[in-house]
Amino acid sequence: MALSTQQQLNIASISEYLAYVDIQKKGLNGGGVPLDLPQKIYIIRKSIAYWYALDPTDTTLVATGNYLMALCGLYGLEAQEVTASGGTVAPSATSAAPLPLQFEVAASGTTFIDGQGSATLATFAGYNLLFSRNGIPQSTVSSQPSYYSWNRSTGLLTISPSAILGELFQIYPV
Amino acid sequence: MAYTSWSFNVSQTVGSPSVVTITAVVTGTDSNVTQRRVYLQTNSGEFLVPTGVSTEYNEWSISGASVDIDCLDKDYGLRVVVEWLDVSDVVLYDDEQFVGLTLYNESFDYLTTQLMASNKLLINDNNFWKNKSKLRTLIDAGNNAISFASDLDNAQSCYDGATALRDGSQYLFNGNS
Repeated sequence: MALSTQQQLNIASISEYLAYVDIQKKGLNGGGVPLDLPQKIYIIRKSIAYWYALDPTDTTLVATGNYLMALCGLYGLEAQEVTASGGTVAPSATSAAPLPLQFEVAASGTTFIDGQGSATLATFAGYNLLFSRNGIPQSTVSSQPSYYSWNRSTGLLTISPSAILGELFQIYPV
Repeated sequence: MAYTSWSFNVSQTVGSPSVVTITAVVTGTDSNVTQRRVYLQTNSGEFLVPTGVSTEYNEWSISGASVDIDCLDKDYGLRVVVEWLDVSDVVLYDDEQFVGLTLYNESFDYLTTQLMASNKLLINDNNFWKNKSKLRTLIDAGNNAISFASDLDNAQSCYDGATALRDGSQYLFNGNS
């Protein structure tokens, strides 16, 4: 995205001191950097800043602003890091876990009905699962008398043995 | 009722460097105020008014939020005083500011920046660049004289120096080099 004039002015302000410090550190002849570069950036920036304050819609600010950026050169890129206008880390999408499921197995109308051995919990996909059956936490160890398996990619919950009418199921996404 | 605060802003508009715009910043109402006057005083004590005005001040209708005064022939450091008066010419409120009005020279400075943007080699032209640096320095110095010390004398000297560069631009700023 193109920089706005205000961003260019901010970058130029920072570039001035970055250039000055760099020239000082490089010693003899400023390491090839023009010794008056900070002054040049300042002088061009000030004229643009004044004009921008008077009329931010002036279309000539695009050309003069780009010229200012060209003057800033590498210091302009460094300055963008300082102002964070050179890019940001995209924040991860915030997500709220779905509400737990708690119900007594019925003949119909519940997530698991009497005799049902598996169900797809689409909203739970992507989460790990805690499954409690009649108040007893279940495991995925299939050698146990009752257990479950959970595919966190697809949201498929398979239980063994199948649901029995009146059982209390508590399913928590974590 | 009376004003609880009273002040004003001074501004200029692109393309009209000879015009000063004064905008009132007033809180409250006062029915006794029937007229306003604006004094624009230079460092030499002279009052600036448009051609045809015989008073030292510029009339400012009480009904207008702002007033445009066309009186500048160059950049000035000015002492600006606004008075709010009643029908008997008694000053009920007043405010004073010291300002630098630099649109003439700033416009010219920006013009030279545009020239540089369109002709990249100009930055290597010592004559052009040296004079542009002087121009910027003089404007900034004038502004500093006012903002730090309300020093109209020295500010005007700086502004006049910048104006001299602008007036001699055909010799000092060769945009074709």
